[in-house]
Amino acid sequence: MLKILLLLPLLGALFISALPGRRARLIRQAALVISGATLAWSIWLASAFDPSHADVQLVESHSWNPRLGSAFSLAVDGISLPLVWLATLLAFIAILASGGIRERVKGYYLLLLLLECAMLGVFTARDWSLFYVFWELTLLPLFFLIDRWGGLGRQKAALNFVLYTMGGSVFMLIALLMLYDASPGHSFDMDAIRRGALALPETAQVTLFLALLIGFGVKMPIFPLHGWLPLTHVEAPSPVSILLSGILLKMGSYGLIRATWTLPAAAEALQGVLMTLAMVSLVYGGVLAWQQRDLKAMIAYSSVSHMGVVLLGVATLNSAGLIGAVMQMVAHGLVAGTLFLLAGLLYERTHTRDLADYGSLVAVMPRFAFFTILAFICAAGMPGSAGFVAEMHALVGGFERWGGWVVLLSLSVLISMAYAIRTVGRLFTGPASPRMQGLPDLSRSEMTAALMLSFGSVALGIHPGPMLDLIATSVGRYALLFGA
Amino acid sequence: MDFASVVFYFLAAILLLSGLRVITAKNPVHAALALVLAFFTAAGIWLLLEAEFLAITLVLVYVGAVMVLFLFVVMMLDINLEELRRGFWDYLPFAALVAGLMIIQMVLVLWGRDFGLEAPVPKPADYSNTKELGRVLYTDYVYAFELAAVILLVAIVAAIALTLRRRPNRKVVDPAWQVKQKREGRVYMVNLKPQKPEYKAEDEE
Amino acid sequence: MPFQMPDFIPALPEIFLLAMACVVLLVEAGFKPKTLSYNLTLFTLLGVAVLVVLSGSSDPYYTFNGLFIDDVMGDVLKLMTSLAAIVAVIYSRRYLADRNLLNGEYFALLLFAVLGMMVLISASHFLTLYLGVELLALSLYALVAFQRDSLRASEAAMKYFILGALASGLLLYGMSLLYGVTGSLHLDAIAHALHQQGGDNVVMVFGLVFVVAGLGFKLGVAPFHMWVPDIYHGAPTAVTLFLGSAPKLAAFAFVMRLLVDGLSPLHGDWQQMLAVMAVLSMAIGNLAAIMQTNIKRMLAYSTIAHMGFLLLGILSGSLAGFSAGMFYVLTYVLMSLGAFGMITYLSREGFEAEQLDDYKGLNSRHPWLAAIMGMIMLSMAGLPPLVGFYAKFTVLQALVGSGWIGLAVVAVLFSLIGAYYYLRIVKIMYFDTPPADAPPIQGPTDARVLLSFNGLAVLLLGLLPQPLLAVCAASLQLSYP
Repeated sequence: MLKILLLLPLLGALFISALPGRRARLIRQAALVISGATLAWSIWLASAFDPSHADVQLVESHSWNPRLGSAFSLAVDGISLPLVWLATLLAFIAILASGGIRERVKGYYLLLLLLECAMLGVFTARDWSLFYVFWELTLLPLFFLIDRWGGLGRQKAALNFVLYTMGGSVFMLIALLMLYDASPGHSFDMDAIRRGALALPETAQVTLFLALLIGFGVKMPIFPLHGWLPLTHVEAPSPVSILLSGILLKMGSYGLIRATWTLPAAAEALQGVLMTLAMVSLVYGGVLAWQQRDLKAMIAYSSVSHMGVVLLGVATLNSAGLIGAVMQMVAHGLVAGTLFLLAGLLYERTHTRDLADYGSLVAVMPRFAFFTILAFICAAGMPGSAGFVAEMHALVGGFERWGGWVVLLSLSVLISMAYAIRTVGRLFTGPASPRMQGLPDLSRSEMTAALMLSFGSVALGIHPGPMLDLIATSVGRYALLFGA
Repeated sequence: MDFASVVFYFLAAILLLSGLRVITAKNPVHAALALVLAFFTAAGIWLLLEAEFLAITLVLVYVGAVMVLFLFVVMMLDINLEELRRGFWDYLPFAALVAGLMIIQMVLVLWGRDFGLEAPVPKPADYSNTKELGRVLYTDYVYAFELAAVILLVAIVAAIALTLRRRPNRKVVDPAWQVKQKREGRVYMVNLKPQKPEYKAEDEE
Repeated sequence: MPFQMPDFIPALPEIFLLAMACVVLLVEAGFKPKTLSYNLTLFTLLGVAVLVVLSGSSDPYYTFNGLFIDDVMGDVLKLMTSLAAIVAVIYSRRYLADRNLLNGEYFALLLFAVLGMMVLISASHFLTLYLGVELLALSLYALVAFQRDSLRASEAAMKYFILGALASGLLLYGMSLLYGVTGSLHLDAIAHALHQQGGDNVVMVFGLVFVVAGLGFKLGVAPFHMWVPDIYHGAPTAVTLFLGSAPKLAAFAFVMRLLVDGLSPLHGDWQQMLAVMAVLSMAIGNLAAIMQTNIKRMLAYSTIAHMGFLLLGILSGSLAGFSAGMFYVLTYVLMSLGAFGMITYLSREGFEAEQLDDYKGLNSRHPWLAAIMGMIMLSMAGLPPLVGFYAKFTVLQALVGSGWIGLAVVAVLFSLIGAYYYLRIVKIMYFDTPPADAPPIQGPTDARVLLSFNGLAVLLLGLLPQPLLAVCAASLQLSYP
């Protein structure tokens, strides 16, 4: 089942590589069909998945490199399944939104599908070495995608991104190797690693957790490790930005949740640190987003702030908080995807990202304006959006743990409201810029993409029950570790 | 001190002095001759150690062949070795310092006691060093012996490959071809009519 | 003591190789067609590979009065050495022909160098170790200088020769000290004697220092690395290709024989020395490589860094570490052959593709070659799913398993720095525009096909490293029961 999920985009990439490079339309359609099929397959997985069961399901394991202690084993639970859906959906959207790519179409779609395969691998791997391989494998397509199809400063951005992430993941690698060494029977299997880790002394666990935190924190990103993010997001082609902020960031927080489960004692010992980092990320990202003139940079910094909510949820180590964290990952994936999609479409039309250049677009592009305002409302976490449900849970979880301190979270909500309103104001009100007249409104395929994402956000906001149940069952098992 | 020790110190002193001469002598021929002396005394020390074969080989090969060849080269090439050695006195203090340090270190380390091997028992008088060496060389160590031969072969091949130049327009003489030539092929009779040379007065201007 | 006829069977590959090298020399003197010596060389190396497989035995077996050891580790390394030499010869044919270097002496010297490696690989005695090293080195000096009208090559050969001689001197001095302490030249007997005397003998350590320094020179690890960039840069690319590939296998065997077979009782001492050398090599290699504009020089510095990483595997001191080191060196040779093979392939008459600028926009000139080169570079950088990742992974695994966690952290940090310059080459090939006057790339088909296989092997072994890992582990298990 899961194997097919990974194979679909991979074989699709192979298929595309066999197509003639000049048939751009054919290639695009093929990529759409393949990613659509992957999306359909991932949704169909729900039918085989038992949401009342807490442990991982749909397990399949193949011997891969027994000498290294690694196996090709895949499985999903209530934490990873929503992320798998998110990944397949956003990959489909990204391909849908790639109509603006005109040159070297073949390589572009091939790399996008490879990236999709790698991301799905990260979320479904049940073996840390497999996880690591997929984790690093995402870098390769991204390096080429950014460096080839990105903006003006793309070369610096691509190199910066790859080296930054690799720099984080080498710490993760060492930590994983040490865990491997401690595991009974020398294996990278997540359960075996956990058994070995539990037997370690607490100081060792804390060290290992910190190393993992660096690796995952770079990706998330957490406050002092976010240096690569604005540059990369600004320079990456918009469809890639969708995937970057929509899914790639979630790989970090997903890994962190798995790490807390592997090293519970360390997570508990470092709870305060995590909380502090979360709060700093929240406020810092928000304030910086407020300061930006560049539309994409603003969305990028807002991601730092939103991922702070995820980190806060993880740091609570209780059921409500963890649910909030997972929910926020999904919610932010949808919202950031929408925002980058719309920002990209706008850039394609205007070739400027400076907020000061826009004005009164509502008259020119009413449909665009509608979706943008909706997306900003969701981003700010207004009731009725998925973000609200997520922040609510994180807030409740945080309150259980720290009481009044979570007022800070409300502060960040205020800040995010502030920059959302400011941006909306800049975009759609004020003096109409003569340069912005006569811009075409959203096309049909762009509408479809925006509609799908917005619908997701709102639907999860209005009717979050099934999703919350799905997440809660698996998260409950994690929360039990911490006596909450 | 027994007789052997006296001989040893005597020879060692000569060896050291001649070695020193090799690097200090101004005249390259003198340096080469000092090296011959050094080899000779070293051979004497080996004799003292009952390594007759090695001692004789040293004299035959190095003194007899290598050094003579070397002397020829030095005398024929007329190299101004003085030029090459110009920096000698400038570098001497530093070099001496380094060498002194190394000597101190080695003396500290190698003060004999650490080797922990008992002195070998002297062999009887009819023991043939040469025969033993030969036996070992061609039986137990035949593999190493052959390898040494291969290394020499490689050295020859390399030397030829790197220095032999087959220039297309080089000027060489083929003796066989030279001997085969007949008079008819080389000499022609040309009848020249006597001519009066015409002088031009060039200084009339 | 009666003389026993040695068993020649285990040494059959060496004997065949020597005989054929002499045949190549004779053929060169007598026959004119230039391709004959080339074909004979390929035939010889192929024959050696077959003989190595046929004459191998599963248990360590001594012959020639203990001067020669035949074990599975040696057999695997010899097999790979001859295969690597075959690949190098095929890659370099056109390059040599263009520069008028395609003649019998070249191939004879190359075969002698391979012989030196094989002797080194199955040496079990200080004498054979030393003779193997000298045979290899002497042939390589000559090969480096083979392009006689190139001033750069002559200078490189001179440097190589002088530093090599110095290294040999250090090595010999150390060996003689160890002989003085242990009274034997047999590696096994030395290990036995050292074990009985305990490790606190000053002379032993003194000798060890000299031996390790000599070893460092031969491996080209810091702080004894000064010759590597000059030689890689100065030598004709075909020679660099050969020099940078097969001898690394012999170097690995050299370290294993000397330190593990012979000096294992002193492992506490040599581990520290290797650790220092490894860290220095990774630092100097990776940092200096960033500043290079010449790709041969850059790869030379990267070699230094890779050799440092290899030392990490060996110094971890466990069987897993040795097998990780062996895996590392095998995969490194594969990548190195590909990288230098590509430089050789892209060079043509009167033109050396050795500046980084020569690779600008390679993708638009020849996408397939660019893809191969890209894979090799990313593999050297250690990105999954290419084989270079598993090479680093296994070494780190062994290192962490032996408790050298600090070293492992240093190693990954430096390989991160290294990733920068490998990625830069990928960037140059894919994202820079090629010079307008770049001629179309054309080369012999056999080299191109082989390069393709080379690149695909890097990917395939990365996806499924298990077979090669198993070979390495099994051969070491059989060789060190």
